[in-house]
Amino acid sequence: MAKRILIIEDEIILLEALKEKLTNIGYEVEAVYDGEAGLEIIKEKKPDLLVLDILLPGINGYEVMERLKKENISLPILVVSNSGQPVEIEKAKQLGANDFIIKAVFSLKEVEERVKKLIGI
Amino acid sequence: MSLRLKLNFFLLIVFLLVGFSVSFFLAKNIEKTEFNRLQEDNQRIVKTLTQGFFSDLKTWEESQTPVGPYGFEKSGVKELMERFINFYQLLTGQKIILLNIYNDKNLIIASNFKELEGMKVKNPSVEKVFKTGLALSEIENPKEIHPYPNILIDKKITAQKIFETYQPIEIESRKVGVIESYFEPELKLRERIQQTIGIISLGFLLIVAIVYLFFSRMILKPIQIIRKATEPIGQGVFSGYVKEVTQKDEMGKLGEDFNSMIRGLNSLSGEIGRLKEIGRMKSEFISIAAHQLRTPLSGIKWVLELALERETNQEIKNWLAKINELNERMIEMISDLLNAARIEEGRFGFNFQKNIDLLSLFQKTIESYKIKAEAKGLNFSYSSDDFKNLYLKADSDKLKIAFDNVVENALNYTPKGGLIKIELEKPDGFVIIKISDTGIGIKEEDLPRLFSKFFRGQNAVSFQPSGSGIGLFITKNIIKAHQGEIWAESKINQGTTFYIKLPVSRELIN
Repeated sequence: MAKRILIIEDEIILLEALKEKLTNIGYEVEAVYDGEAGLEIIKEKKPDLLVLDILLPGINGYEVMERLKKENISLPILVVSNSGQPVEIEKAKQLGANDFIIKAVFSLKEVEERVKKLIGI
Repeated sequence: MSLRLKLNFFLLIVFLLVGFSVSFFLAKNIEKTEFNRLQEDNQRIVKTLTQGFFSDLKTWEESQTPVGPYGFEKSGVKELMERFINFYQLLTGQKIILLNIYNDKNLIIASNFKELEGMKVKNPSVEKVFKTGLALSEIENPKEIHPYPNILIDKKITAQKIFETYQPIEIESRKVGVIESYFEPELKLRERIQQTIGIISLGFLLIVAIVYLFFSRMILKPIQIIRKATEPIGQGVFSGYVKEVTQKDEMGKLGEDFNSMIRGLNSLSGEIGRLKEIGRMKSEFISIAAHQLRTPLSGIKWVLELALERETNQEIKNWLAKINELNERMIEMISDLLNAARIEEGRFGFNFQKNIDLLSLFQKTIESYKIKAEAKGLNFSYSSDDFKNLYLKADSDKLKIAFDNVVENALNYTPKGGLIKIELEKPDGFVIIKISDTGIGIKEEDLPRLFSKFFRGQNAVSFQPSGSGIGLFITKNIIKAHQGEIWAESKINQGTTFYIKLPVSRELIN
């Protein structure tokens, strides 16, 4: 059975590109635009990986991770953010992120590599 | 010593000096007037007595007839003289020390000192009185009583001043002799003079003290006011105007100057605040704009990547690759701008780690430089062995950015066929990474501004129009954060060498 990935990303083109790429490799990908909706799906479907943006409408990526921690839900998280200052990376890791990717700097190929490293195929 | 103490000391000395000299002068003056008054009185008494006693003599010559072994014992003059002395002392309470009566031939015909009688003495004062017929009086020092010093020493005169009086003796309008007399001023009088002087001196000192207090307050007060107003300036508060210092002198001027200084500082600090605000807004704008640009650029990047994967038409693939290249350049520029803005805002975060291995840090990037250099038709030389066994405390990502910027410049500004060389020097405790090229070089006048933001060398602009001029600014800041140094040497059209000096950890050196 294919591994299931949830993407929370509000920028539609980025979301589509990510979804396309990861689906092509063979993952089962679901995507939502905001944190609240994402949390619902996580609780309901328990995906194998969460690909999470930080700047989101409503609750942001950090808050999503805080909520997961509070509710004792643990799953691999790959943060995909617009900027990657050391403080931001540190904060994300403390909240439970397993890896951190800066969108403009990393190619889809690199995203693929990181995902594979985290959950395999 | 505080200014107040110094000034007080100075004023005290000045006022005391002035006080003493004025007291002394006053005292002298009083003494002189007192003595003069006494002198006049004396003279008048002597004159009256002389006229009273000696007008009784019928004939002067007769009375001078010598009698007995010493000459004048029984002379009428001698008798008169004794009566004169008694009368004088009774009248004035003062003592006659010496009294001589001269005749017209400089002969002492009578004296209260017998030894002097019959002596012929050349006395200038007596001669003068004879000549003019006028009385004469002097105030003398005892030592200077000439020509009878021995007598006076015998008498042990303690007085500091002695009155001398010369009175002509006239009988029927004929000058016949001169009475020379020496008086010691009354002791009581001297005491009175001293008392007066003491009181006056004391009073004067009191006045001096008051004047002194007034002066020192007058001088010090404005200084203290201004000093108090100066204090807040050090804390950056420019509100302390001086209001109380309004007098029309240097102090008043100082107060005015101080106020205009405060006004200047106020407008200056307002101006600085405004400039800071503009600067802050500028970097904030850059920050926001760059962030906003990043999202669409990364969208283009990923979509292009997908398109490149799928496209089978080689021609279209080539075009897409070109777009991708441009997009990458834009992303890089945006990163540079963001980093520059962060540096300026002081939030360019570093994540230092100990014992970063220089070889593993650079091996990958250096390989990629080699590929880029070959693609541009450049020779690239380095030895990976040099990088072995060098460990440092570093933020790997940032250090890579710094290194990239310098090598990219070498790659960009070296014409085809040139050589780019990376060498290492290892002075004690440091590593110097030398990146040299045979490129277009940097003009000498451009070298000092090389690491300033947005600066690009004149020949760099004409060789390669694109470029933000931010790279070396960021590099310098990164190297500085690593306690390192960066500098460059260059010769136009011959090439440039950049030196990056970084401290290495000692414990892991062989």
